[in-house]
Amino acid sequence: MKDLRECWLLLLLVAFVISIGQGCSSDGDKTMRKSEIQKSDSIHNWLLNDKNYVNKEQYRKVFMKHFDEAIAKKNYDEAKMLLVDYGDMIFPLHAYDSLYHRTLNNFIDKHNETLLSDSTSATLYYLSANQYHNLNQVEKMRLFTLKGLEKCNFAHAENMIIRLKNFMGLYYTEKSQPEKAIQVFMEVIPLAEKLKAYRRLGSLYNNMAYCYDMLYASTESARMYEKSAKSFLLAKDTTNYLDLSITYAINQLFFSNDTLKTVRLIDSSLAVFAKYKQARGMDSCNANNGLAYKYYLTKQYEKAKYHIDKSTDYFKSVGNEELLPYNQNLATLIYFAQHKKLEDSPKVEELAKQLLADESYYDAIELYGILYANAKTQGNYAKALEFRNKEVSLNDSLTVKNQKGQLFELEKKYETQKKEQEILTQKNEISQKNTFIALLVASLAGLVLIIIVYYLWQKQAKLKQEKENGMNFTKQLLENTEEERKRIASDLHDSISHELLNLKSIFTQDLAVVNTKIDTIINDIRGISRNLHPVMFDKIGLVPNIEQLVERIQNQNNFFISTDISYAGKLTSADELQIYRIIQEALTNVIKYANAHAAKITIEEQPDKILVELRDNGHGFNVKETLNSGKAFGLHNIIERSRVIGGEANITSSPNGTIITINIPKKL
Amino acid sequence: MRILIADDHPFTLMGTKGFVESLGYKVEDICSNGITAYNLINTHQPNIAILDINMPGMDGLEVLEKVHRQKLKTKVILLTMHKEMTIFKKANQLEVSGYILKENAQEELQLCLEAVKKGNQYVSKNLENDLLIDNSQGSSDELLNKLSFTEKKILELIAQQKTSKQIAEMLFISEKTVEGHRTNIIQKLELPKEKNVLLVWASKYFKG
Repeated sequence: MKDLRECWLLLLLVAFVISIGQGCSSDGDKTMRKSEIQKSDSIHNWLLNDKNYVNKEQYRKVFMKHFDEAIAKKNYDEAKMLLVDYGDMIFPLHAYDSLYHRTLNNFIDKHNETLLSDSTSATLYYLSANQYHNLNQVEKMRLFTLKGLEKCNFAHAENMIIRLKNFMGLYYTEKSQPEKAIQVFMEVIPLAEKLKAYRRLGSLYNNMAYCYDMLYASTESARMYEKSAKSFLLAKDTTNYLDLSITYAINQLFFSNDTLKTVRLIDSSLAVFAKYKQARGMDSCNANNGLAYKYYLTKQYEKAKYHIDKSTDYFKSVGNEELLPYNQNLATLIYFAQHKKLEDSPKVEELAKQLLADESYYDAIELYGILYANAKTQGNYAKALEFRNKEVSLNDSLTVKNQKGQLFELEKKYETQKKEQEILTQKNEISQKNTFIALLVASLAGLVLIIIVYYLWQKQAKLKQEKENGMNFTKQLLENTEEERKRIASDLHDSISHELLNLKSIFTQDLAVVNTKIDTIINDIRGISRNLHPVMFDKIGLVPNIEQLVERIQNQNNFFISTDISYAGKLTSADELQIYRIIQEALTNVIKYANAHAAKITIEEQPDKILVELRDNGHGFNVKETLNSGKAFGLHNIIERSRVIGGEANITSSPNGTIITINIPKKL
Repeated sequence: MRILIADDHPFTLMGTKGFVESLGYKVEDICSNGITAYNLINTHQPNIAILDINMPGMDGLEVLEKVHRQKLKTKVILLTMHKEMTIFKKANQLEVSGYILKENAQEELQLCLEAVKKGNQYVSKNLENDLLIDNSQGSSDELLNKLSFTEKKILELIAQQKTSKQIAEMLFISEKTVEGHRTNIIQKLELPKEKNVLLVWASKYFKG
C-alpha cells in the first residue's frame, strides 16, 4: 500500500508541473492571435513562425528593429501587436526572457495611461505576469494579473479573464492558500464551460485537484483528476489526458484499494491514448510509469522494472532532475518487492530525505518502511528503530493531515448540502411566490373581467330601459294626442254644437235671451281655445303667463302656489312655451298625486344658465320605479321637454316632498 | 274726426265701419291687416284707429306698440275677442286708449269713442278678471270674499292651529310674509286688536 501512494504522488507532481505549463499556454493563445494574424503583414507572420525562433538572436534583432521603428512612428498599436507576437512565441517555453520582459514592462510603464481597455492591452499585462511567473516572482505576477483584469471590460473578454484568473489561482496556490485558489478556479469554470474551452477547463480542474491535494482532501482531488482527464480528452489533448487519467487511476486505487479497477483504468487510458498517437518523450514517460505501476501491482516485477527504467532513462536524457526522485522511488519499491532487500540502503535513505524535503510524505513513509524492513533483516536494529520511529512519526502527522482533509471535505459536503438545501428552499419560496403572484394576477384579471361584464350588463340594461321608456313615451304621446283630439271634439260637440242648437230653437224668442246664449257660446269657445294654448303666449311672455296659470290653478283647485321668478326673457318664445308646459305638467302632477300643502315655482337666471325649480311638500314617490313603470307620462313629458330645449331635468323625491330641477344652458 | 278701422274679417270690418259711420264719424281708411294699418296710421295720422288684435302681418298689439313707441298722435282702440286680463295688461302698458270686446261692441263702441275723443281711456265694463273663480268650494260668506286667496289659505291653516313659522314652511313663503298677511286679515275682517284674536275667530269660523 505504501508504495502505491508513492507512485501516485510521483505522477501527481508530474501532472501538476506539466499542467501549469501547458494548461496555461496552449489553449486560447493561438486563437487569440487569429484576428491579428489575418490582417497582419509579413512581420507578424514571421514573428509567429516557430522556425524563425530557432535562431534566437536573429529573432530578437528582427523584433527589436520593428518594435523601435513602430515606437519612433508613434504607432503604438503596431508596437503592442509586436509585443504580443513575441510573447506568443515564447509563451509555451516557460522560460524567462529578460530582454523581452524589459521591453514589455518599459512599454507598459510608459503607456500605462494611454493603454485602452482592449484585448491587446490586457494581453500585455498577462504576458508580463507570465514572465514574472516564470521568474517565480509571484507578488509581481499577482500585480500584473490584477492590472490585466482591470482592462478586461471589453466584449468577449471571457477567454482573457479565464487566463488571468487562472494566474490568480496559481498565485494563491503558491502562497499555500489552496481554499482561496479553489474559489478563484471555481469562478471561471462556468466561463470555460460556456466557451467550450476544454483544454483550459482540463487545466483548471487539474489545478484544483492539486489544491485539494494540498488540503489532503483526497476524494475531491480524485474527482477533479477525473474531470480534468475527461476535459483534456474532449480537447483531444492526449498528452495531458494520459497524464491525468493515469493519475486518476492510481488515485482510485489509493482511496478505494481496488487494484483491479486501477489496472483496468490504466489499460483503458493507454488504449485511448494509443488510438491517437505513439507515445514519445514525456508521453512515453507517462505511459511507462503507468505500465510500471500496473506490472508492479500485478507483481510482474521484471516488466515493471523495464518500464520504470525506460522512464528514468528519458528523464536522465533530458536532464529532468525534478521528477527523477519519484521514478527512483518506484524503482526502489519494485526492487524491494522483487528481492526483499535493498541494493543500496544509504542511497535510499538519502532519497527518503530528499522526498521528505519536497514534502512528499507518502513516498518518504514508504521508503522508511522499506528501510526499516531492510535494516531488520540485516540485523541492524539501531537503524531499524530509527527508521521505524521516523516512519511512525511521519505516519502520525500524515494521519492528522488526512483527518484534517477529511474534515475539510465533510465540511465542504455539509456546506454544499446546506447550500443546496437553501437553494431548494429558495426555489420553493420563489415558486410559492410565483404561484401567489399568478393567483393574484389571475384573480385581479378575473375581478376586472367581472367588473367589465357587470358594467356592460348594466349599460345594456340601462339602454334597454331607456329604449322601453322612449317607446312608452311615444306611445303615450300618441295616445294623449288622440285623447286631446277626443276632448276637443267632445267639447266642440257637447258645448258649442249643443248651445248653437239651443240658440237655433230659441232664435225667435227674446233678443236678450239670444244675446246671453251667444255670450255663453263665445265664452265656451274662449275656454276651449285657452285650454289648447295660452292666448298670445309669445306676445305676453313667460312670466305673466306663468302668473296667470298659477292664479287659475290656485282658484280652481284651492291650492297654494308661491313663486320666485327672476327672468329677463333670454330664451326664445318656443323654449319659453316648453318651460310653461313643464310647469303646467308639474303642477298638474302635484295637484293630482302629491297631496301637498303648497308648491313653489322658482325661476332663476344665472350667468350661464336658467334654473327652473318646482318644489312641493307632498308625500313624494319612488322616482326610478315610477319612471320605469311605463305610466309616468307626465314625468317623461317633463324630461323630454327639458331635453328639447337643451336642458336636463333632475327629479328627486322623498317623503318630505319632491323637487324637480331643470337646468337650461343659455345659448351663446 | 278721422278714423281708421282694421280687421281681417271683411264682414266685421264692414259692420264696424257701418256702425261707426252710423254714429256720425267719418271713416277715412279701412284695411284688413296690421302692416297696412300701421302704414296708413303713419301716413294719414288719423285721430283714432280701431284695431282688431288678431290680424295677419302685424297684430293689433304690435301696431299699438309702434304707435306708442313713435309717440304718434293717433289714439288706438282695440276691438277684440280677447277677454284675457294678461292681454289687456299688456295693452295698458302701451297706453291703449280704448279696450272693448267685440261681443259688447254695440253697447260700448259709442261710449268708448266719446271717451277717447275727450282724451280719456275707456276699458270695457265686461272685461272682468280672467280668473274663473270657483264658487262651489269657497264659502259665499261676504266676509271671506273680502280676503285674497293667500289670506284665505293662511286663515285656513291658522284654524288648524298652525304657527306662523309652520305656515311659512308649508306654503314656501317667509314668516314675515305670513305675519304681514295676518295683519291684513285682521284689518280686512275688522277684528279687535286682542291676543290670539285671529285664531279664535278662525277656529270658530271654520268649525261653524
